[in-house]
Amino acid sequence: MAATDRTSLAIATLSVVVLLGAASDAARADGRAAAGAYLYLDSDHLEVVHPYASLRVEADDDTTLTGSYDADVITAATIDVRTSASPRAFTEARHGIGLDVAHELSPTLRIGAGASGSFSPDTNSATASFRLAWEDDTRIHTLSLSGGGSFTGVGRVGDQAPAGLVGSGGLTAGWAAVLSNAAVLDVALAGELSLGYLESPYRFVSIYTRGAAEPWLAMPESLPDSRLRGAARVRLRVAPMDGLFLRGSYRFHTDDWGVLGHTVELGAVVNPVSALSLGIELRYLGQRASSFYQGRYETLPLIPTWAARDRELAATTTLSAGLRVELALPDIFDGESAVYARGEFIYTRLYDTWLLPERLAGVVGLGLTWTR
Amino acid sequence: MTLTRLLLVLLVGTASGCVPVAAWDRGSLAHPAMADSAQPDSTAFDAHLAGAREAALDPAGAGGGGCGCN
Repeated sequence: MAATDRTSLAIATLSVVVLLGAASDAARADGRAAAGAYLYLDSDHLEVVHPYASLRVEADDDTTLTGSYDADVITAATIDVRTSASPRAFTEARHGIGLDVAHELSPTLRIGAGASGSFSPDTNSATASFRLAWEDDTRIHTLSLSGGGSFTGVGRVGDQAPAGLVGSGGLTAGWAAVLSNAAVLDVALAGELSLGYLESPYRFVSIYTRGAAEPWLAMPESLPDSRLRGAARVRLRVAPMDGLFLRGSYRFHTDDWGVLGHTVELGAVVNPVSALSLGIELRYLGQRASSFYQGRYETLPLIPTWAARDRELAATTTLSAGLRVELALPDIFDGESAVYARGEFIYTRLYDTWLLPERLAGVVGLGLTWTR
Repeated sequence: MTLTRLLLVLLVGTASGCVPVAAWDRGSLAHPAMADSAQPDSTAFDAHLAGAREAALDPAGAGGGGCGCN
């Protein structure tokens, strides 16, 4: 790890400590404080340390304020973590901050707004969001609407100016219904439009003559300047017996680049004793490739209008399984505290890719929460 | 179209099957494991990871963007 990245990690750790200190100062008010770190490792030789901290305080009886910080300290075998490993290793850090306010206008109507920023040597982003949720008088139905927009500058490390800018805006509408005293079903629909530079300046696509071993041309990745994405999710949460909670969801996603996929998630939480919570999570994601994605472009003498090197636009199957253990700790500052540990394995098969068609990843996380 | 019809049937069936639940009978519904985001810190990390490594839009994370994943 380079000195600059050790510095970034030190800044991240210091920020977590400062937020925890603020949490202790805020201990006189009701709220929630959380801090922890995740470690991500995969077979592409990507390593990410992700510390985070957040603090929520009650400004008054109806209003809460939340501040958060997170970071990614990345060590990778390639400058482009989404394409393929190369001999050019790199390390860098991304820092993210967020502020959020939530207000209860009435017992049945809640509103909120947030702003966040993400800063790294090659990508900087600013995001603003809003949300509102309305619950009917019988407390059976809840309708929600949220949305937001972001503005991102994408470039390469060391460039004087960004290679391009991206603007995104999206809306999500949701409906949740209480089916019984132990079951909730919810449906969400989302859409997002992105406009601008959607390529990666690090990615180059090789163009071959048919059957050739060596590429005739390497051109910068070329993608459409707009992308409209949509998704729908149905989820059921049930508590079939005391101390057992189950949830399952199905998500359909698609976009105007031709990507289309299905995601199924299943989860169970059991409380053998009140202080201990054990959880298991299973996930499947299957995806069709974008219409213009090819693992190998044998198009000469024609140069393709669109050419992608991003493996995430390939046909994909991802399977993941995780475990989570949460243990309540003795109360401090008159609040409930808990520690959790989490581990997850993620297997991804990327079809029609020449390099690294499989990825095996492991994630471990450890965190502390305090709530009053 | 089949998916749309299935969703419509599900929505209509669900809406007609909903029942009011008294405040004293909401113990299971109020449990953190039944919350929209049962473990908010884990959920935030999962959304961050998916945003950087997957092409899908997630209704739970829509309206955001700027994952800084390039």
